[in-house]
Amino acid sequence: MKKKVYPKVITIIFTLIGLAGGLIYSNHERIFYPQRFDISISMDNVEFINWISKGDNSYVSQEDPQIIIFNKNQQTAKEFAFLGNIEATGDATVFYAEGDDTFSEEQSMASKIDRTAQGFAISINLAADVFRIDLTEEPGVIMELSEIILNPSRFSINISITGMAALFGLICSLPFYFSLAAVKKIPALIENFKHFWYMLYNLVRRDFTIKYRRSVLGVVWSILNPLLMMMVLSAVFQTLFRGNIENFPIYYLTGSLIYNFVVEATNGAMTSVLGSGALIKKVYIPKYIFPLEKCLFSILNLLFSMLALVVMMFFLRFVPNWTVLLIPIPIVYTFVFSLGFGMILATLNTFFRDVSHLYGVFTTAWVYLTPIIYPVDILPDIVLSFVKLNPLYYYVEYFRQLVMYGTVPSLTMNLYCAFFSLSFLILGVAIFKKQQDKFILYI
Amino acid sequence: MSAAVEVNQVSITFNMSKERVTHLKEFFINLAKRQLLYEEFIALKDVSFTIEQGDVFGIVGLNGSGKSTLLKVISGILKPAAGSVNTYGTISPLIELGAGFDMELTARENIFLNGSILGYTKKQLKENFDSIVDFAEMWEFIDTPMKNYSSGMVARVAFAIATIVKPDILIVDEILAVGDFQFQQKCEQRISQLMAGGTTVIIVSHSIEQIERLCKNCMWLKRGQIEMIGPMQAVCDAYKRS
Repeated sequence: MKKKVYPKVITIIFTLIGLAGGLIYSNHERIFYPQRFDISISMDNVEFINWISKGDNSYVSQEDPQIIIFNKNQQTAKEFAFLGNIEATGDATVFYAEGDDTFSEEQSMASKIDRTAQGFAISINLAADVFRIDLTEEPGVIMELSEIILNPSRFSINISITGMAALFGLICSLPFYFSLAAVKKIPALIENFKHFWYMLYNLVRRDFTIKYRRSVLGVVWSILNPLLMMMVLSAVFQTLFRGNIENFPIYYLTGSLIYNFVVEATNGAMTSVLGSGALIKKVYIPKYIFPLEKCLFSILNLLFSMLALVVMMFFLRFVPNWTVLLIPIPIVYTFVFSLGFGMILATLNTFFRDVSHLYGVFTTAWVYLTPIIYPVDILPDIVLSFVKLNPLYYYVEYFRQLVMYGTVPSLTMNLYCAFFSLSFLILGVAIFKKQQDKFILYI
Repeated sequence: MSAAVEVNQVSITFNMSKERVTHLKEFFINLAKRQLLYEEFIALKDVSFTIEQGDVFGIVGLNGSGKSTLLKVISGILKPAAGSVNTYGTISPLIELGAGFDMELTARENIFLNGSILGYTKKQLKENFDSIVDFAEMWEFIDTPMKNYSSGMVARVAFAIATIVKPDILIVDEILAVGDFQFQQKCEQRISQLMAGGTTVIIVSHSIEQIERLCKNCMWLKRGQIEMIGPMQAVCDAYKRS
């Protein structure tokens, strides 16, 4: 019994360490540089222009009211917190200047007035000597102001970093579930795989033959399908909703090709074990072959569907950069992710058939959590931080950078992609391997 | 003579909950009711025996005595709950003919698909393709989808594929009951050929005559346990008397 409890404890500890690490990272500036935070600005460094003081920390605005703040301590101004209250609604305008420069429209930005418990706050995120804050443009607005604090310290959580750190802790603990003996078996596993590659080839071939056997156009459907779908969505989103994405057809296709590949591969893998029940009951086959085969088959379909992209580029006279040559990289990332996720789904689905019904709903939600038909920048920050937990976001973004924008994705991007792919693969293989001998009893 | 198959104290139990839990709802309801305890059904209990190389080994017993389960354990399809099975050499299991056939595909495609599932290499299959079709006498319908085949035709193709390359161990489960009289004779001839070549054969059959005709040694299974094991004639006589 003790042997079973021990890895679970490690899992909990590692996950907590990851969680704590994420929280510390989210607040690391506040912890390590406390002098940069909670700086009370002396009223000597503040000038009120066109604000009439009524005494008792209360002010009334005249025509064109301004508050000038001299940033004497040279700290980057992330945020100004005003203790008090103001009637004004809407955005404030912030001007910034260095030294003796005058304020200009070029060096200004709009910032929302956030209500806080003690007053209101304005986010800035800029380093400058002088700030001019126009809270309102209307005369007669009453403001109470007792103190201005630069960079109020608040406890913050970076959801994506914290979530990922916790997940990483969880993944790191998985090897503790296996003994060292498992590592020694790896050469035998590779040998095993070599033996079965020809079978894999034949299974993929079977799926391919069956999929296209009775249709007149055959493989052409793999190209036509995304093209037709793209026409419908282009019509809906570009005409009806007045979308403003440049090269929408290519934007959509790059997203949907990756999304469709993942959904097709995971769906295939999920039902693969049950679908091959007759075989599993009668011949000895390593069961990982089935999800693997479905994912390989989906890759084949993806390659055909990519011709749709080529056709579209030709029509739009869109000349891609040399970076298109790198597209095998995101495909490998996505494939590894799909395989791992598919193995998890296949295991769950064998024991609980409900999973396949639930997954249909999940994939529908997934379309909207992935920037396929909308641009990323329309998302509010809070939604974006959730979208960034979605592995598909990174794969789609990676693929788009190569195909559409012609840039090489950053190292961070690669790390994110590799992290999600490997995590899911390790998790998938671990779950699948642990349960595979029981499959036959539930088919 | 060295052993081809060693079975050491193998036990298999199946969970027989009244209805198998395959829905999350039931799982949680049962979990709440603490009814996840299964009734256990013992399919094999502490079975140990050894089959020598080149032996033709028959297994007899009534329905539900664990014969097919035992074959599945030997061929690696089922993992025993306790005990171990060692096999030496390649195994060709004929548990059910045509497992792995996709009926949408033609016989030609299925020969390659099923052959690769049984573990043959591409080279072996290409070299032996003609003799497989010859043996199955299926040249006429080689490019017809197999869903249009009769069960006898399917069995012929399947048997031809499974026995085309001499396996070290051949496992045969009731399959000789399908097909016409002529084909059954042909199959028995092929099995005799393999036996002469040193292949170990394990046969399960309800046809006691067939066992008597083919086997050297025999085992009688009763409710998952060995009732009797030894030379064929003695076991068969005892089984017939029971």
